[in-house]
Amino acid sequence: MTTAKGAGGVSTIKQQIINYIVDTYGIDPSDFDDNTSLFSSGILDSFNMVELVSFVEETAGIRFGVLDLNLDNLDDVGRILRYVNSRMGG
Amino acid sequence: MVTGTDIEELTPDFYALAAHWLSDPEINKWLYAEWREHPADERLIALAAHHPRNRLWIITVNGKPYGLCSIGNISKVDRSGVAWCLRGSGVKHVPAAMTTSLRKMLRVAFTDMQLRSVNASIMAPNMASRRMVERAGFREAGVLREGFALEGEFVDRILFDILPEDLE
Repeated sequence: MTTAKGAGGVSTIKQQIINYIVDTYGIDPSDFDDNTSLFSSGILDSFNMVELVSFVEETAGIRFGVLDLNLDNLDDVGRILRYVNSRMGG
Repeated sequence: MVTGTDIEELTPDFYALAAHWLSDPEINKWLYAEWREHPADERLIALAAHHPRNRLWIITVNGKPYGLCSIGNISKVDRSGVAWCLRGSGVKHVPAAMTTSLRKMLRVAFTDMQLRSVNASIMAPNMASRRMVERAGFREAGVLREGFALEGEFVDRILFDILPEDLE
């Protein structure tokens, strides 16, 4: 799996995150979009989320603060990307 | 009941402490597999605390952190959850504090959370925890033979459950 630390922009990061989620957790891509709940739906448990957070950090070259690890920033791909964008200075 | 014992929703102030306790090998070896398989750090605790299928509480005795308790694997369909709790690393034992805390948590589970049942499973050699859940009102529901791995050996998993009427 290739990663791009902050390179390629948010759209590239978005696709990498989606690919990671689909490949790692066996989610059907046709059932999944920016608004698909990952956390509050229970699709991913806390341990999965740690792995996903690490992947997002590696891919985007950012670091989540402990207080930022919440539903507002993590519950779906859209929220994750908004957080990533804010950390990248977007 | 032990006066001065309370449970409070786990807040970020206690994430590091919770992670420290969960990482203690003498505590960790007794926990469910997912906690043994993953290193506990503040980030994991933060995610666990926010996950809709978990509730975590810090146990205090006379205002000082004493342990953790949790209802996990919460099912809204089955209205069930899995209980676990621990006394913190190096924390001096206060008789009946864990039982008192567990009963307080169960009251929340059966009232605020509207669960119908709570279960727990304990490694057979963990006699202290077995006595504690029984004092709290849990009933032994069965045994899964060699259902846990403990220090290189397989030990039986003792299943317990409790309903609201058992708590009265």
